[in-house]
Amino acid sequence: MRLLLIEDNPDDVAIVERLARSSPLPVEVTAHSNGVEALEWLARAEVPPDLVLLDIGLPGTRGTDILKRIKEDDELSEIPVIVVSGSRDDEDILEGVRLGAHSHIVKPIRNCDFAWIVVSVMKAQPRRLALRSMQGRR
Amino acid sequence: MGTITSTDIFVQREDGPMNQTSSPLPILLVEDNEIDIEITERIFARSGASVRLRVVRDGDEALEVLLTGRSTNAPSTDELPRLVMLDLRLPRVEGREVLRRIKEDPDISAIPVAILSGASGERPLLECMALGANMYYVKPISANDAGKLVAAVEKYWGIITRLRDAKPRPEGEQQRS
Repeated sequence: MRLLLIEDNPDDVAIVERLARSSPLPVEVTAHSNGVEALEWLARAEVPPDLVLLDIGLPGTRGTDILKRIKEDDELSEIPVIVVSGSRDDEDILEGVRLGAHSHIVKPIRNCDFAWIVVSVMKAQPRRLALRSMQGRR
Repeated sequence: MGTITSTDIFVQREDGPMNQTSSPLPILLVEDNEIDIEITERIFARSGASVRLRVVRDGDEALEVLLTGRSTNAPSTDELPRLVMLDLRLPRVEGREVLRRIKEDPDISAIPVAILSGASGERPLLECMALGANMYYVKPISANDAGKLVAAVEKYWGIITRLRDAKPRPEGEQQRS
């Protein structure tokens, strides 16, 4: 599993990298501290990541703007994006979900958050399942 | 406290090794509508998943079960459910409030919550996802999705156990820009 982490806080990067190294399933982490650099990396990547983990509170370019760019790009829009925030009350969470984020987690990222990330990518696609379920009933 | 029912549904699974469990997955179904309860029980029976369904009929009971379990045992024990399936329209304590309380409590927030919604609009989906819901279904959940959900939740708890026990691999295995 290939994971693109867009996060400026080195402590949070270290947490994700430690969890990835402990994961029973191989997880390759590519970390970028700058959202625009991450978008450039995504545009150049020969194999897109299976998941983007995006700090919604990035300094400089807003995390929601990065998310919007990913979801508006035909080649990237199918990549699930999980937004990460420092607080459950962050107003950007709802905006992120509205823009197409797969789900969100609150820092610090714990074992259970990471496990659900892995499961979401491997098997269940909660948002897609939910939307498909809704479409079937309209 | 109102009526609590437990239903054991034992069905032989044909999944791979990661989905094999020695005991049925304990699920707390929070649902006040008797017809929806029966439909959900039948769907799980049809799904091929091995689950133990405990039913409570309002949000207050659900929190009581979860908080009592928390006070005596860690979430990994059988006293707490491994999955909460939560209706949104509930008497006494509404479904979103139950979800918020679960996800804000560090002792029980690891328990995955699957929303069973009677509404097909996007707004409740967005609200629940923002509150930390793990899955969201419009009722009734299909047998196929119920089977996938149980498999994903079993895999989730398996990964947590292995993360807890694992020693990190060397840093050289990571790529960083």
